[in-house]
Amino acid sequence: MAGQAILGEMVLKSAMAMEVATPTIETLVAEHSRMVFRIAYSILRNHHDAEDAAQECFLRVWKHKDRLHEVSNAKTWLARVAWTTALDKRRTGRKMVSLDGDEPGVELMESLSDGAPRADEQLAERQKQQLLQRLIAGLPEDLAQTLELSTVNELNSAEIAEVMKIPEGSVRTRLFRARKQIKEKLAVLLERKKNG
Amino acid sequence: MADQEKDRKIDDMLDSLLVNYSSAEPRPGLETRILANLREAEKKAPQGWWNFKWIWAGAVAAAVVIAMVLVNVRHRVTPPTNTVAKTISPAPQPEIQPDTPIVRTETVRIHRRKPSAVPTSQHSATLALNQRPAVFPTPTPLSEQERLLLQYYTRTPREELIAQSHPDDPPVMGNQDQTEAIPDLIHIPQKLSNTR
Repeated sequence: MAGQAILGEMVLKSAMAMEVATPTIETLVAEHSRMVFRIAYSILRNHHDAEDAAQECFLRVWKHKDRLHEVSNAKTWLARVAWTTALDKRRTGRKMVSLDGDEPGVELMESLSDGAPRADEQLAERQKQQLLQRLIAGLPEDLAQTLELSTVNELNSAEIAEVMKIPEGSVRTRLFRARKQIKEKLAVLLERKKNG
Repeated sequence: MADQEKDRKIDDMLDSLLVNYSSAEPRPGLETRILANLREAEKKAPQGWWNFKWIWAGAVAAAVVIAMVLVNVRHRVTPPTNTVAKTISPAPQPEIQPDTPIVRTETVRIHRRKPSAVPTSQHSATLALNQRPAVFPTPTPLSEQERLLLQYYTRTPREELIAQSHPDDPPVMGNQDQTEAIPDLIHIPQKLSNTR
């Protein structure tokens, strides 16, 4: 009985110590490098650029390593750093092609699979992603950014809200509006494809 | 019914597109590359900081030396000029000069000033400009004879002065000038010339 109490006390102490412990850069890299890469990829849409952004993100973190103990939620803080780094990189880098007209979309829509398995499935998947990328690029910036972050599996809506510094309700509203606008464009494209 | 079906189909399509939008995997060894990059940055940082620190120290030292040389040179070239301050030093008996109040206020101001340790030429020039009296030409102190005469006038009772100015005996030609000059003493103006 006494042994159980001592064990419980030890577990409690170690849990408290873990809670207070300041994360090191090494642990942040080990735990969140994939999330950082995906956030960067959702914005930059390029493996090479995404990796560069991830490197830069951790360099920024390293510059503030003395203040890591002030961070309450390392995951969302790191996600925000990654997000802003990727946005900066996108601004300074090449501009993405926006969906001004529907013609390029129609062209890509032609290659969409109808559900039947095809030999060039990988190519079709890439083309689908290009279509979605163009549709998202055609959205207003706030909707596009929210939708891009929502595609990162590691982030839920509360975390997205914390990353973007907006209320969680706003995240949901933005996601609803973004999906609605994309669906409308998809409907038009499907209609055009149907009519030939 | 058909619209609902169509809407559901588009919804499914959008979901399938969004699921894989950011599911990209980084190239193997991302963590290692990030940590290596951080170690490299850490190696560079102290050297950079060291150079930066010494550049600052050198700049500050050079600025101090230049300032000291400049002060020294100026001090040697132009000796401190306090001639103006001397000329408007407090009059021996300022209380009997009610018609020159400006000079008195200037005198008070001079007393309030803190004497600088090393007066430069610029400083003396500024001082001279500040202490320039409003009355021109500059009032000069009384001569020895004038002072004695004034002392006599102030110490002698008024009745005696009047009596002296109207002697019972008829005035002799030689004394007439002196006795007639006494009443005028009241209005003796301070000599306003520095050109004699």
